Amino acid sequence: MLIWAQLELQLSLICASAPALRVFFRRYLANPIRALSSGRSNLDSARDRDSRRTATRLTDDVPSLPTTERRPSTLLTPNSIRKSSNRATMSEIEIEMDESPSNSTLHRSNSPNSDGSEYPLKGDLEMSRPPAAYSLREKNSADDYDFGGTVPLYLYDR
Amino acid sequence: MSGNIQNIPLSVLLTWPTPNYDDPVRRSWMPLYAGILQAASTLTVLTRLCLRARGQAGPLGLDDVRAFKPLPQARTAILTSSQALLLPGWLGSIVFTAFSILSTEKYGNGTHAWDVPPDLYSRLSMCAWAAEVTFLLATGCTKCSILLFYRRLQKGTFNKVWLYCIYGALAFTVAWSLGFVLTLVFSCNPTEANWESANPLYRKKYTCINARYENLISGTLSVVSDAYAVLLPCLMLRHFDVSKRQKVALNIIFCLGFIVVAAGSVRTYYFDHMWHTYVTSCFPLVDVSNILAATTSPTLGSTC
Repeated sequence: MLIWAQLELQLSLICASAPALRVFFRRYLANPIRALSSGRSNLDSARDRDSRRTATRLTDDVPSLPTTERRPSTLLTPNSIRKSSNRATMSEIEIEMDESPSNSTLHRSNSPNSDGSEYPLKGDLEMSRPPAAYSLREKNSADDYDFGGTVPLYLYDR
Repeated sequence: MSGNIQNIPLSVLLTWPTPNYDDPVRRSWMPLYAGILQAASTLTVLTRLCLRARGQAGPLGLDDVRAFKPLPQARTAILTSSQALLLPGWLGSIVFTAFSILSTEKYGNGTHAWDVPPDLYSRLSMCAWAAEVTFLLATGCTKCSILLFYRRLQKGTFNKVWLYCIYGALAFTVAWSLGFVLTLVFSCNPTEANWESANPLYRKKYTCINARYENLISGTLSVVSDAYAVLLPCLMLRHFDVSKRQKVALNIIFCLGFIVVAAGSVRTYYFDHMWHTYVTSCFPLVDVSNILAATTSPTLGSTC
């Protein structure tokens, strides 16, 4: 009976600690495992991280930026543009426009290009800023938080 | 409960074979088994505490304080206790492991009941009694820590009823654990009779309650608390919008929890009928369902 009591007690401690261990695995072991499974090099991972950081900085600045001098790279013609995030915690982001984008353009900022080329925003951030009238709205859970529909992306990107 | 030995009927004693005190059959793997389990739990607990202390998995003990503004002091204490209760649980597990190894290696718990020399009975019983008290306290603390963790799941449901259910389960667990610790202390008068009564040469006057029913009630309440602890997250998360993979993982864990509850019920039944086959008392062993339910949290990205 000591065997079962021992097993129960130690398992209880292990499982009670499991939630915090999830953070440990995600923070320290997720990247090595992913790199091993996909066969990607460390250089690629570093470049991805750098690109994501650049994109996040850009989207954080969106509401307060000037609207002039935009260099077209990828045209987004409809009023609402959906794109999938490359992060598991960010689902769908919808960019809504308050006015017709007849002479304005936006760049894809958060996901790599399908052809594997560099991000279009990289290297010329000033030229690529979207207009101030645009807002970023997180579709799934924005209403759960009182941000008036505009959600700073770092809430999900951390 | 160590007083179990005094209740062994003569008919059972007569069925025991001739004792072999010189070279008894021994179960010698207890130190390795207990050591591996203790090392694994120590590693995980220390990792958790280390992550909390460094703020990588929320600050130590106050991980969800921001959810309650303004935060009364009493509630802060409750939130902190989720972390604080794990530490005594872990320390209790170390003491329990020490008692387990001591009783099996030195006092003959690793042998058949009939092969234990009578002069070791009282020390073996004392070891078992102390281990049982430690076990009750350690599992009580760990259970409470797990139940306090459920408050994170409750926040996702936005329903205060679940919060009251969690606090009800907490009150039940605390009452059950403390009640049986006190029962162990006061089941014999004087308390030393809990272990000394196992010594055939003990001549003092003493009175003990019938530990058979004590064990039965303890096992039953343990099963009830386990079932309650498994049902709580099951019901809380039934409408949770998660991916199919996470739902499958959740259901597997819940099924395991229910299997353990069923196994605990069967064990309690057979424990009532087979209690006399061991020298030392049996421990309330279920609770694993409670634990398994706690493992649901890693699969829920939004709660951690």
